[in-house]
Amino acid sequence: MITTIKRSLIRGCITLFCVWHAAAVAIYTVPAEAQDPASRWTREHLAPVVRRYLLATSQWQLWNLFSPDPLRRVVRYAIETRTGDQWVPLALLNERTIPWWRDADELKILRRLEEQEDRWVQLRKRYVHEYCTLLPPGTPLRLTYQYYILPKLEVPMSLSWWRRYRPQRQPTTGIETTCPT
Amino acid sequence: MTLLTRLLFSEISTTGFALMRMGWAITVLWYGIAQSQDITRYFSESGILPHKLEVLVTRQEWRFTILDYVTDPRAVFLLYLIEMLAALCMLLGVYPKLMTVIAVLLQFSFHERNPLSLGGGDTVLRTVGFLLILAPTGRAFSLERLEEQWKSWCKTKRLLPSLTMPSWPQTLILWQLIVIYVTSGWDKLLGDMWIQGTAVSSALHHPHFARYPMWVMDIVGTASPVISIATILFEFMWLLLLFPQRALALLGLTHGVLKRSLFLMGVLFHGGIFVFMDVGSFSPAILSAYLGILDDADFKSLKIWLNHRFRGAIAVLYDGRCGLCIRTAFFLALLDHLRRLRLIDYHDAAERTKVAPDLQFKDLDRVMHVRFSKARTEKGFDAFRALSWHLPALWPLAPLLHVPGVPLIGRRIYAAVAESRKKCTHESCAL
Repeated sequence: MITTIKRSLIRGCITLFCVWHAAAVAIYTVPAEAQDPASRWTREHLAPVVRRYLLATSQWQLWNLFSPDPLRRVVRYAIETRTGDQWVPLALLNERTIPWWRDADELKILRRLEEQEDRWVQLRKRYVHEYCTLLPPGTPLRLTYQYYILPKLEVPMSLSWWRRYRPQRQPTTGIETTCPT
Repeated sequence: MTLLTRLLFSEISTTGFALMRMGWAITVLWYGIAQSQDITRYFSESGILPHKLEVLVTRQEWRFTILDYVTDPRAVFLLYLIEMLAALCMLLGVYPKLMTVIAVLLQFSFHERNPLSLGGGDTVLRTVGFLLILAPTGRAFSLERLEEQWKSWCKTKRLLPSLTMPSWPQTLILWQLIVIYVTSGWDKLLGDMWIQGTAVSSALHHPHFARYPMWVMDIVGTASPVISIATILFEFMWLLLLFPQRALALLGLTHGVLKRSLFLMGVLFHGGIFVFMDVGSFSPAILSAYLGILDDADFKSLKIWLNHRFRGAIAVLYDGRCGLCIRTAFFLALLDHLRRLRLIDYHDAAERTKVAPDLQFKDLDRVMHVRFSKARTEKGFDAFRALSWHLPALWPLAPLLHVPGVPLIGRRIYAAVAESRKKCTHESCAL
């Protein structure tokens, strides 16, 4: 009798947990871009209820993989140092210069540093300062971007169109700093 | 209530979850080792994200990480080594539950400390890891279980049946996959490029993700309209798993067939992504999660499919009075997932004459013989090489055994081992 009650209690708890976990995961992953009333209501009223559980258990998740549209901004990063009146490259950071087993992580970090624009100035400086181990204190340094945007095509283009496609890179400066003394 | 009970408390084999544990461990080891150079850069006080800047990147509520307290670069690296060691133990089945808890919690800690480099694959690893901690998989695919199997084999020449567990962890991982695919498909419909068929081409032409030179991606990109639409269809097809059996029957489907079809499509889909695009650990992580949804019916179905052209049985004639040979036979029995082998102690004259009346005892006593059919008998290294094509766990090894030079070395090693087995006095040689 006691065994049956204990078993039922355990099963009841597991059932509640499963229903809660499944609901929490589904509620939290409603796409941020979905603007229909049901999605907005879910995000406003239900997501805060499950948020703490998912954050505390590291189960936070969002599945906007290459969506709503894939990433089209292509950037090559460079760390430059000032020599006389000229900025000269110290390190080029792109898919060709970073080893293949490290490039996914490193380029993701660089993309995120760039996306946050001025909000992460301190973080960008910290990233650039890593290169100061090679330089005397006070040396001017900067992070620059060479970027282009892949075209947002409305129709699929032919093989010959892609073969003719030559992107024009635009230069821009991310952050300028000096090596700490 | 009956449906809920069936979904959550049916007894299922632990094999799927044990394989998922191993897949998770391989993925973590693979990408963990690749990240080894950057561990202190990413996660310690001396790296790119010291604690004073952490507030810019991480949330401050409901966030737990041991790396908030362990900040010294050497200590952080030590934690990383502990995680890698725990993942290796998970893979090998050394204290699998304890090692799973250690590896998964450390993985959470690293992810919470610095989320800057995290991608979809890392999120999949966290969700799978969470369920691995909770799932009552017991001793499945562990050294402890191997010992139990060995004892059973010594006593009865039979292996123990698979361990079982309640089905709720499998239901949750299946639900997690449905959520991943359906929300991912939903998000794609909120943009333009997936519907226009240009998304895949665009993604393939992004140099950060392209694995091959652009002229290759140009060619692959021509399939963009088909792949873009197929991706959305594939992702929404996972919703069908929520349909009741009667509704699926109208489409001529069963849950089992649908799940296995989605599994196969998913392997092709994620395999394709992995081959052409460098998107971190996403493909291996989600393919590990796939292993967790496999149940007995799936394994049986796979076995039937793989055996559909196979007839009869393969007779392995081994020396039942030599410990080394008995252990070899035991491991062959363990690896015989397709149930093709018939292990015969050639000292048993009745059994021997049934399958190999033409073989002499003195020949059998010299080297292991394997009879595939009346017309084909292999021995020694060649027997092992031929067997490897029938044992799925050895498939990755099988082609290598045909590489020029390998057979020559293999035959010599085999001959040396076979020769010494009679001289050996170690307890593992003589039971």
